[in-house]
Amino acid sequence: MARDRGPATDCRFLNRLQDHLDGRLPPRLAPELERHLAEGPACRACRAELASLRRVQATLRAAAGLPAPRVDRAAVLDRLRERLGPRRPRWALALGGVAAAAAALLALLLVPSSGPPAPPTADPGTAPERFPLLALAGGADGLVPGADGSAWVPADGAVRLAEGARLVVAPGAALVLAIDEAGAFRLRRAGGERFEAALERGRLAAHLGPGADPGVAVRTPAGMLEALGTAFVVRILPGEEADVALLEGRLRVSPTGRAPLEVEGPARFVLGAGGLAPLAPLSATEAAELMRVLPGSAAGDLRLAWLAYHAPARPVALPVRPAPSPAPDVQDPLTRARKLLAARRVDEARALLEGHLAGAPGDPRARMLYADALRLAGEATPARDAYLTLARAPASDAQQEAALFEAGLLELRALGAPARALGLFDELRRRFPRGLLRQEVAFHLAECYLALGDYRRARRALDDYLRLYPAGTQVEAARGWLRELEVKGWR
Amino acid sequence: MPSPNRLAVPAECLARCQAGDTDAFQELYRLTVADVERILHRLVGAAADLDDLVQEAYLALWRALPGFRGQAPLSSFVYGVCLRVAQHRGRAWFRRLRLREAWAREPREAAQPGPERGLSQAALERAVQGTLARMSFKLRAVLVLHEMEELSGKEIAAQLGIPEKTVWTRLHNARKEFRRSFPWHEIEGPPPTAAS
Repeated sequence: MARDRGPATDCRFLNRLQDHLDGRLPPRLAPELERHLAEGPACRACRAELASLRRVQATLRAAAGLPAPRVDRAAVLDRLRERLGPRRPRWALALGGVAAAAAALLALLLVPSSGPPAPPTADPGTAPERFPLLALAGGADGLVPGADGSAWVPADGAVRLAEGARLVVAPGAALVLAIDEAGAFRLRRAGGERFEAALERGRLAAHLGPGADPGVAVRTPAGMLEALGTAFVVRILPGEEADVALLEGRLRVSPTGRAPLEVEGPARFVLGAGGLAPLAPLSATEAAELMRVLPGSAAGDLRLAWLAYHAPARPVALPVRPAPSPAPDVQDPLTRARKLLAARRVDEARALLEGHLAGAPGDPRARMLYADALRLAGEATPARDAYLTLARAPASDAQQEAALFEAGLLELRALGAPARALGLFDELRRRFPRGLLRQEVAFHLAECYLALGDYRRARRALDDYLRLYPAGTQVEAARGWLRELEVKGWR
Repeated sequence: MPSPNRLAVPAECLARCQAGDTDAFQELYRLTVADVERILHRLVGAAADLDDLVQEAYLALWRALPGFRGQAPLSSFVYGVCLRVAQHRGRAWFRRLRLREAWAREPREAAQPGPERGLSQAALERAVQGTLARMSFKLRAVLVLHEMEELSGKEIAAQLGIPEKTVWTRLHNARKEFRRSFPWHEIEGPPPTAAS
C-alpha cells in the first residue's frame, strides 16, 4: 500500500487546506487562500490536494446516505425485555466488568438552592451517579468539588453535617429525604430507584408519596428500616439505638439478627439491640419541626402534623405483624444459576443445573453453565470434557466456538497440555476464521508454541498477531515475548 | 441523512423510562433503534454481531438514563452510550460475554443487500465499512461522527472527552488514512492522489 506522504510541495497553504475544508481558517486567511486557489497553475498542488480531500468527504457522505443494515429488531427487543430488570447501581455494573476501584464511587450532586442547574453529564456510560440535591444549608465535611464546580459526596466516605446543617435530597419527585442534626451518613442507590441511607449519627426524615415504590431504606446500627409507602423519621440515639417515628403507612423493620417485622403507623419505637420497644408518638412541636425539615411536601407536612397532633399522647402497643414471606423467586433456573456462579456459590449452582438438566438434558445453555460450574469448582478435566462434548454437538457456530475456546484455555492453562490446546486453537482458527474470538485464538496459538518450545512458530504467530491486531488487547504481551525471544536468542 | 440530533422521543416517554417503566423503554427503543443501528454499524464496521451491540447499547442506555438531566440533547446521550459500547467491543472479556449471549439463539444468515440496493451501493458500503474497520478506533470515531453523523468538533470533543483541537488533528489524520487505504479502483476509478 502506498503511503500517503501528503503534499510534497512547500506551499504554505497546503497544510491549511483541511482547516479550509472545515471552515476553520482565520477570517484574514480565508480570502487569501481563495485567491491562491484561483491563481491557475501556480498552485496545482493545493487544488489537487483539496480535490482529493473533497473526494474523501464525498465518498463518506455518500455512504452515510445508504441505509444501514437492520438488526432483527423484534428479536433484540425480546431479549431486552428479559434483561430489563431493576437498575443496578453503576458501581455494581462496573464491578462486573473491569473498573472496580474507579466504580466504587457514588456521588451526590449538590446544587445550592439559589444556584444554576447542573450541567449535563458528559459521560453518561461511566459518570458517577448523581442524586439531585434540593438544598444544603450550613457546613458539611466529606463533600469534594466536582469537575463542573458542583460538590460531590464520595460514596465510600461518610458525610458529616455540622450542627444546624441540613441536607435535602429528592431522588424522585415522590421521595423527599432530609438529613440534619449534625448527621453522619452514607447514601447509595440500592437497586432500581431504591435509595439506601446508612445513618450513623443525626436524624433523617423521609416522606414517600404515591409512586415512590420501591422507595427508601435506612440502615441504622441496630437494623434496617424499609419503607413501604410511608413517612417516617429516624434519629440515632447515643448507644446506637434508633428512635423511629412512623407517621403513616408501613415500615418493614429488620433488627440485626432477628426476623423482620412490619409496623403500621402511626407508631413510635426504639430500634435497639433488643429489638423494638414502643414509645409515645411525636408531639405536635416535633411535627411542626418536620414541616421545616421536609420542604417540598407541604401537603404531606400538614397531614403529618395532624397525625402527630392527634396521636394518643401515651405509650401504645405496636401494631406489629410478621413480615410476609418473600415473594417466590420467579427467575428462570438458568438466570439463577448464572447469578450463583457469579457469586461463586458453585455447589448451589451445580445442584440447580443438575435439576434442570434432568428435565432438559439437551439444553445447551444449561450444559454450558454446568461446564462453567465444573471449571469454577476446579474440576478441570470434567469441565474440559463437558466443553468438548458441547463443541461437537449439533449447535450454532457461536456455541461451538465458545465451547472449543473454553476447552482450549483449560488445556493450556489448567491441564498443562499445550499440544492438545494447540490442536483446539488450530481447529478454532480453521473453522471460525471470522469468529468473535479470533483475536484471542491468534494470541493463544503463540502461547501454545511458546509452551511447546517451538520458538520459530511462536515468533511467527506473535508477528501475525501484531500484524493482524495492531490495537489488540494483548499487544504489549506479544511485544514483550518477542523481545524476550530476541534477547535470549531462542529461535 | 437521518440524524440522532432529531431523535423524536416524547418528554413523557423519556420521563417514564427514567422512572423505570419498561413499557416506555420499549417505546423509546422503537423510536430510536434505527439511529442506534446506524451509529453502531458505522463505528464498528461490518459486524456480524450488530444485534448484540444494539442490545448492549440499549441495556447501557437503560442503566444510564436516570443520570440524564435533559440539559443536553438526548442524541448526545445516545452517542455517548454507543461510543462506549463500540469501544468495549474491542475488549476480550466483552467478546466472550457476547459470545455467551449468543448461546440461546439460532445461527442467523448473514444480511443480504435488499433488492432495492444496487450492486454499486452495496460495493460502496462494503468498501467504506472495510476501510473504516481497518482504522484505529480513535480515528474512526472522529471520522464517522464528523463526516457521516455531522457532529461539530465541539460535540465530538464532549463525547470523547478530548480537547477540540485534538478532534481536528485526529480528523485530518483520519481523512488521510482513509484516502490511503480506500479501494478507489474498485469503486470509481483511480485513487485521488495527494499533491505532489
